[in-house]
Amino acid sequence: MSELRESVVSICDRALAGLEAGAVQTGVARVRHRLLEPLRVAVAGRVSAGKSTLVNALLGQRVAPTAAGECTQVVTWFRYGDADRAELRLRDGSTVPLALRPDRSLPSTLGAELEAVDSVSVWLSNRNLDDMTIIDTPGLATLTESSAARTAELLAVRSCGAVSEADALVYVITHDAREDDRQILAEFRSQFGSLRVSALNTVAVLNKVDKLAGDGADARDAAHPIAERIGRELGPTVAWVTPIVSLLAETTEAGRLDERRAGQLQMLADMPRERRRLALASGRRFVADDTLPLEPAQRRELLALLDLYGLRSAVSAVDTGRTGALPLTDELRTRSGIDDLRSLLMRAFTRRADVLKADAALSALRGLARQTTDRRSGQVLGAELRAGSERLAVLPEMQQLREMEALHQVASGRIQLPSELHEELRRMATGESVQEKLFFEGGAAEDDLLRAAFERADRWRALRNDPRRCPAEKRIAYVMGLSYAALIGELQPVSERTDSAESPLPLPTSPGSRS
Amino acid sequence: MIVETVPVPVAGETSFEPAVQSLIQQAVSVAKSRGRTDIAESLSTQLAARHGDGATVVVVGETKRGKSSLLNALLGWSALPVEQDVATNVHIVLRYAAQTIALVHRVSAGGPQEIPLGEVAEWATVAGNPGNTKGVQGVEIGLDHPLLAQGLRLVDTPGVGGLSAAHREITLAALARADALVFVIDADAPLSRPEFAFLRQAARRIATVLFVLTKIDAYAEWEAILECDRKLLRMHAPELAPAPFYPVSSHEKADADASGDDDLGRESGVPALEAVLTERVAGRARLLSLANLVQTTREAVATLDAPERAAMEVAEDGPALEQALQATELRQREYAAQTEGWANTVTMDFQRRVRHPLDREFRRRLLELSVRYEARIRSPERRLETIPDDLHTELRAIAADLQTMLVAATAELVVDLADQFDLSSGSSVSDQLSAGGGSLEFAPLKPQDRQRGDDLSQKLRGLTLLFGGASSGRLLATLLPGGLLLGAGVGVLVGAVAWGTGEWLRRKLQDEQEAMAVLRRALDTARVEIEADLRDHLLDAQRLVQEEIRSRIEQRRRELAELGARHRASAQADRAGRKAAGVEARRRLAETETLRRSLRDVQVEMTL
Repeated sequence: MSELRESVVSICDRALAGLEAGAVQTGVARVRHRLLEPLRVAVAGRVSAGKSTLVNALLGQRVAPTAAGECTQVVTWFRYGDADRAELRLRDGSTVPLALRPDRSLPSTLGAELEAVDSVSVWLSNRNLDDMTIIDTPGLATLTESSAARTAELLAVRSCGAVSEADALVYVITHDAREDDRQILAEFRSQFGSLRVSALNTVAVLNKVDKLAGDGADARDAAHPIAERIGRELGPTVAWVTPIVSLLAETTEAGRLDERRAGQLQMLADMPRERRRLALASGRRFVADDTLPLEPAQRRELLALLDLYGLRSAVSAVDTGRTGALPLTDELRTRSGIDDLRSLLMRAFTRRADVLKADAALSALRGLARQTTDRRSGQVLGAELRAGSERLAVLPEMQQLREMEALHQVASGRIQLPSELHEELRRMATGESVQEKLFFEGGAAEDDLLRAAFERADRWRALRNDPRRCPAEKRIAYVMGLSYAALIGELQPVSERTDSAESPLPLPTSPGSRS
Repeated sequence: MIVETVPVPVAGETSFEPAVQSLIQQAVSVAKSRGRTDIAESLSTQLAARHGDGATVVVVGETKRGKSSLLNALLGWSALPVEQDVATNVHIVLRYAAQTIALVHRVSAGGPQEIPLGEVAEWATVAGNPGNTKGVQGVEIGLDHPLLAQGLRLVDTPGVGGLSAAHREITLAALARADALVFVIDADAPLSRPEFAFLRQAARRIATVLFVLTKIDAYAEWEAILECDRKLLRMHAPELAPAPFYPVSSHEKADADASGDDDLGRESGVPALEAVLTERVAGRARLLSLANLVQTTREAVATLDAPERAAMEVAEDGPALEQALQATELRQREYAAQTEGWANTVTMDFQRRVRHPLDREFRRRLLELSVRYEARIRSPERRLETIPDDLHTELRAIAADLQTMLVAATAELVVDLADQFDLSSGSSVSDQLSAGGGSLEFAPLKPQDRQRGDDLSQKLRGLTLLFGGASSGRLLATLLPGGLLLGAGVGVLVGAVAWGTGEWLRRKLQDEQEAMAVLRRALDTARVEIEADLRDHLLDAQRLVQEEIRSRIEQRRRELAELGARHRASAQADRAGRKAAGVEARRRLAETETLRRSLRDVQVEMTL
């Protein structure tokens, strides 16, 4: 655990020592407990976006039931555990064990009234859960066919509740960001909870991109321009968008493509090309065409596992000599985009888990201190928070927290920045290299980088000195000044620094500490 | 590649056209023989003008639901840009033309500008024309295709659920003047709340809605989604629940066209959609316009009969003649009283029912626009770069909606005024006098039998039924310049609002203050340009209504006066002369009776 997380834990500990039993104390204890847990990642999106399929892919085993239309009805938590087991958490606080099926998957019915159920918890001895707890949420149907409007509301409340309990969010979009998606994300952003959805803790997954691709083409190529555009459009909320084919990811990650099925794919691949192409033109054709070498049941099974895109990709992989279950699985997994998503989650979430955790915890603690009606407890917690923030201020990760806070402020619309400056802030907070943070593509000479950093820092300084700007904007300008100072420090070898070299921002006393 | 599709026979239109033509020719020659060249000419003109009739179908759906692919599949064609991320961002109107042609309508240019077909994407897509910096109002493509030759105009729209509320507004404005809405959804996910919001707004403006479920080749579970959509419609928009669904695969259709595989073509579902568009929408529109023409002709023939009926009356003898004379004089006095002060009534009613509601609506819309954009400018998702273009589009939509409203309100007013002053041409004076009117029992094609709702086309048809094509045409041409004849799509999309220098349209916005400034400029422009336009249109409309009512009241008064004069003349004339006149009148009535009977028969058949 990093120093940052330890410092926040110690704020909790000190507060707990001074607090009397009550709501605030319970709240702080919960925050402390959560700080020590693995990162909680919620998977959300509209109905039929393929959330459960994606969860299964991330788990690498088929645990959550999946079907067309509305399917997942309760929030499901997947945590690491030494033995595989599941339980229902009821709304009255009690828990009931839930039997997993022999293949370790969840039953499709819960055996309890939907309205009485709060959530389902599943513990799996699955290394994918080592550093991440995954939360599957019901589809955020802005409309639902369940005739009881109450159910719809319940599902929405549950999903939003689950999201607000997470540290990070994977938002699933299909084909394109639709009006619904914008509304849902806007709702998340304005949600009061410890998770403040912003570009720093949200990854969007562009799912089902296979439906965009032409024959034989790699769907990810077709999807990249769309992913890029969505990234621009959803800028304030989402920093990364990555394409995926969740069904293919689930099938390959869960190892469901065995030798028997590989053999069946081989038989399909051996057919004359034109015949093969026509048979794979539509799902209906593929299932209905009884002149194909496979039994109808086998064809249906293959279609359910791979869909048309997977089938087409598989037969063309066989054409290039990749026969057998393992090589085919490798090829299809690459095409599914799951590898890209995993590495993105690693970069965006896992590596920054400390910052994300600390941010979520601090915001929860501030919320507790502000909202409680118990004045004494509020004062105790507030004092600890103030004392703690002084200790935090000297930590190197603190700058990331400040950037994150600035980004939250802008994402929530509380502060308006000209769009160029907003983009700069986003880059600074989410960029992974100095080049990226300074808007350089590919390699750049050190001098150019340095000059760019100085120029940008100057702009923020001007903003900070502009009397028309409000204090909140100036605070952001101050944070950005610090970030550029750090960047320049990285770029300038220590030996070259002289006293005369003008530092872009003589580090002032923080105007932020006044707030 | 252009593949010929087999035109689906349109039962209504093709079978009735020749019969109706010959009946109208007969009516024209009868009118000439009675010295009524005005009626003969009016009927000939209307018959000749029929080729311009057609139906406008607006195709709407969220982005990436496959609208453009569907249109390409329908036309067996691939000219609409459908690449993965080339979303359409302006309206594209597809209509018939003997030679393929593409035109772009721009804000600044004087008229449409011809462009090569291959360059449509550069003008009509997000990629080719980001933020619509080229100021494109609409793209028009003329094609020689059997589907379009049937009189269909297809309007491809930018996705409604996409970024822009502006697109939604202008699409709604176009819908008010269209004949059908094709709503495109796909088999990926059930209908969403924004889609329902649009559908509910649309249902208020258009009666015929068809749903097309695309991409059924790609989603094995499309039937489950279809079922789910049906349930959602029953629950959330019951008025749309009976609307038909057409599952299609544009992909399969393209494959079938390429390989000549007819089975695959049928399975794709596209031919079924094609058939319904030609039969139900285009065929229906043509049938309706034909039925209107028959009705107009029947009324014209009734007008020819009026003097003959009067002649028969005056051929009567003694007490009957005396009675008829008294009745006529009474009616004349009554009518003078009834129509006294008509000009005042027209002015007052016009103010109350047309001008004030329009003024109010204009102000309300501007206010609503400014509230909405202020909120947008303050929100984190304000998308500054598209604000000028969106504002421009929204203002065009407001102008178009006001125009539509003006036509509808004026048409309604004229119909009511005509009722108030006994001006319907179907109820000629002599019919009212000769109780029952004999053979003139009506079987008109009532607009309300055709469709639910009371959309614009219905009101216009009411106007046509009332005054016949010629004079209502003149009224409409003034109220809706170009629009009606060009086709709803083009008419609305190429709005005729001047924009001053329009300098604010091309501004690149940096921040909130600049956006607010542009918003104020846009609202100022609207107040100056649209309001001036509106005032001119209102004045024209009022003048036209006044003239129309005045000339009809005068004509009716003249008719009554003439009838009285003839009664008095025949009271003094000799009996033999009266008898001979009566015989001639009877002959003439018998002549038109056959014509009227045939017209009525064909009309009844058409309504079946």
